[in-house]
Amino acid sequence: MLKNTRLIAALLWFSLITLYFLDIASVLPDKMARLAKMQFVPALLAHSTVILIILIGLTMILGRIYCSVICPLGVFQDIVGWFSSRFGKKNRYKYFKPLNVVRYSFLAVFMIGLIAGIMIIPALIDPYSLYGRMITSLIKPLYQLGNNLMADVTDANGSYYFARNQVYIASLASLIISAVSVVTIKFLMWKYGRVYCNSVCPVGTILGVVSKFAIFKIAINTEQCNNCGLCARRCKASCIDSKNHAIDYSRCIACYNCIGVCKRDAITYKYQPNKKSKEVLSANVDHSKRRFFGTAIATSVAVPKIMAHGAGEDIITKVTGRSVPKREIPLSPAGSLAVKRLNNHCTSCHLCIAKCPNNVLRPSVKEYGITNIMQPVMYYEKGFCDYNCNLCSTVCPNGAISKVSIEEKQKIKIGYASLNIESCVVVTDKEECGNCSRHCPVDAIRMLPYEDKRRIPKVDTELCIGCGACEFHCPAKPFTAIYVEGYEVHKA
Amino acid sequence: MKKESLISRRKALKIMSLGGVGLMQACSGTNLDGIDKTSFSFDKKAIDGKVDKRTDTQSQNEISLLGFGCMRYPLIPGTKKIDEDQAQMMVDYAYEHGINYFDTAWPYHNGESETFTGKALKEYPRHSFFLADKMPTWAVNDLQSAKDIFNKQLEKCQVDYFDYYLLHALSKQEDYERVYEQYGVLEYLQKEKAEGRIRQLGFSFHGSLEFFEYLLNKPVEWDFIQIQLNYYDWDDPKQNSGKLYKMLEERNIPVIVMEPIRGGMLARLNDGVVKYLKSEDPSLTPAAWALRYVGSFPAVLTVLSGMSKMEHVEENVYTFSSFKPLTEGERKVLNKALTSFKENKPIVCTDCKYCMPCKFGVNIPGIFLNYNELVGELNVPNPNGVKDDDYFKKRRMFLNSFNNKFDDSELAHRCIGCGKCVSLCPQSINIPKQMREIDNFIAQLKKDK
Repeated sequence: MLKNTRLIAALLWFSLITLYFLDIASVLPDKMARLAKMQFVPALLAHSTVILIILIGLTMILGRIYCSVICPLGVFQDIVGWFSSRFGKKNRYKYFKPLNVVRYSFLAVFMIGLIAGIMIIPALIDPYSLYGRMITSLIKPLYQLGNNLMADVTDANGSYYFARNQVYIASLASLIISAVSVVTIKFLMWKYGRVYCNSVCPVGTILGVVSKFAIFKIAINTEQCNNCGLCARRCKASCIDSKNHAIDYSRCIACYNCIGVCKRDAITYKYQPNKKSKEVLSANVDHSKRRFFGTAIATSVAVPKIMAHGAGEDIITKVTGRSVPKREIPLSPAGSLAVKRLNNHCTSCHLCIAKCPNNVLRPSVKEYGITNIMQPVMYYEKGFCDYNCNLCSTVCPNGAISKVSIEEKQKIKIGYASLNIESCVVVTDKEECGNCSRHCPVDAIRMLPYEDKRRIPKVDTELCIGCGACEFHCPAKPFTAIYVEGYEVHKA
Repeated sequence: MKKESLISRRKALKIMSLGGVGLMQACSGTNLDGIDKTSFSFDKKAIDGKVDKRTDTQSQNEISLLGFGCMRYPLIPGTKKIDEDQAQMMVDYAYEHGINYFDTAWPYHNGESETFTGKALKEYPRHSFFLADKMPTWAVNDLQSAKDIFNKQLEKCQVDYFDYYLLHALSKQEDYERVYEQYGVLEYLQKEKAEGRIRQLGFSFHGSLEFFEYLLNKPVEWDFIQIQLNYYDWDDPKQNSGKLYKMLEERNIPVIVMEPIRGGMLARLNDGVVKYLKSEDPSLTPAAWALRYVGSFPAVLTVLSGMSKMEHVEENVYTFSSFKPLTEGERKVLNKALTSFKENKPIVCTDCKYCMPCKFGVNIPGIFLNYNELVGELNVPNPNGVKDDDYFKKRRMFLNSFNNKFDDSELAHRCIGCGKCVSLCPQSINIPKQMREIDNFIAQLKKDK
């Protein structure tokens, strides 16, 4: 009963948040961004005290149900575990001592990363961001291909119900990092259960401390227990020491699997406010597991360094036939207010990238420096920042792109257009053009007289908001004659 | 337990496969082509007859009233190459049913039309068909280049002479004077005619009324003249087809008709007009209406139709076998249909592709045709009206059809307005202006989320 409730809630939450990431046609309401805002690390970075209090309070009362219901990476691991139990042994986990040194080290590193602004560290271990990237880099392209297949069908019958998407890999680095982290987490889950959640995940560690004091906990009735050990073998959190009838509440994720599996009904979930976990020192510490684990994490941290050789740009050039301009300062989305601010708040969940309707946002490679790899950066080869859109600012759960209204967004200057007259078709091809001026939403580009009645654009940087409509529409190839240069701190 | 789940899986598979079949049927059953979609049926057995013939008063040639236009052969899907097997079948079918006039030109199918037409007709005795080709006025730089083109054309078509030869697409007096008078190309072509490599000499026309008069008043004996004629253009102030026709009829010059269904526009029309025409005579397709209209003029020698499907050939052959001119009542019906069609303001593009390739990559005819298709099916949303379900349905269809059919680099917003295409357009469409309107309209639609 408890387990089924947990299952239903978890699957519902998980499917909704996953669908929200994949919803390329914007069918789902924007309010669903709250599912992302309920995540722990984003709430921490966005200083959402209310959400943090709710999450901690929930853990105080019921234990770590955050980890088995709200966290999408947690539910994803449960799904992996379910498959592994279907293809392998059903009850195959075993109790081991908590890897306290590992988990507190990771928490410390996580905190240092946050405070020092080395955001690659929290980005690589925050469960929500890991999951978000996994969906955006690995699942979304497949979803888009499926969408395009449907578009073929509806094009053929003339209803044009589906809009075709161009499927491309915006950043090879993100793709590889996501692939490596997914494979690692999948492997750990398949072999050892929720070892990531209980030894790496900073949210797991923090909530683990809280859940020790939870009011409702699992309890083993020693009178009924016959020491069969089934519960321990079923526990994916490896927190039941059945021999000693002890449960490590810091690792229990309140999945309730043990309750149903116990043949003698010895396990219950009940009100026991004062019970602390009995930590029994066990002799068998699994060193090989620790070693493997250290290597895995080291690998996934090292990968971004290897991948820092901007492969994404070549792909964009191939897709659009246009070269990517080298900007002195990268373009950060309007709500971020300053490049540095984005850098210090973003854990690269890629929700904004998944949601951007104009394919403007892409994971960065070296634009913000290697310590901020994979954070969203703007490019105008495939689209420009729509004057009437503020979607990235409404979905960002971290407050890295803080919420700005459309009216506010229209006034924020994220950069300015810069004109390279020598490449302009008015000069090179002696053509009458003005495509930049015509598409400028703020009339910042005027056409001034040039040779033979032709006119040449001139940018008023005071008016320019840096939306890139001019750069996107510029016919000069491969480098556009007009391109947007970023501001370190946005102007209003 | 296990067995149960197996059955349910099988059931699921069954449902899935049924769904798949349904989808495939949905894809194949509905065809985008305006002609086929409206499920007109004509008695296929009746097509064993042959296309009517008319006599060319100048040469006494017996010409089929339906001529085969070689500008719109079927293409191999996804390419710009002629689907030669399919096209050969169509040519054979046409020949067998009495079509003996084939009209090709230098630019058609990027030059492949002449080569293919020559090859396709090779198996038939030369005297049994009439082949028309044209001098590409815009491609002539001097007399020598014209001679080279003409000789190349004979070679490509694998013939010793052309039955009908035209100065292609005369539209501006200065071009005519420069190429045909200054360079002496007309004199050269007349010499070729004297030597028998050209049998009949004429021109095809896309210009103003004044220029037409100027040409007719020249001391040149034109054996025939090719004009754009259809019920849409008869009173059109740009095309003046009616006036041109009357001038030719007065002078007893045989008229060859191009664009009788306006590049397919009059075959598609729009749903409302198609329904109206069908209610008046269920046996006639919109294309048949248009062709019968043109064929009813006595001075018309042959009507050129650029057919790109076997069904087009079959249907047109049927229309022109034991040809029945329009009755007075039918004329009224057609007039009423035209008035209602013009209310929707389609773009008058005939997909001749003379504007292509656009230097900046815009797919001009593609965009216009897609727009007209949407106009024709009354699927143009009104962003200033009520934003109801119908509006959003049309909006989605409008935006998605442009998004799905074209690459971003081909769309209207890529038009910079250089204007090179304007002078190339035989229909005098202000292409940059139309592009800007479509671009602005799309931008306006995109604002509504």
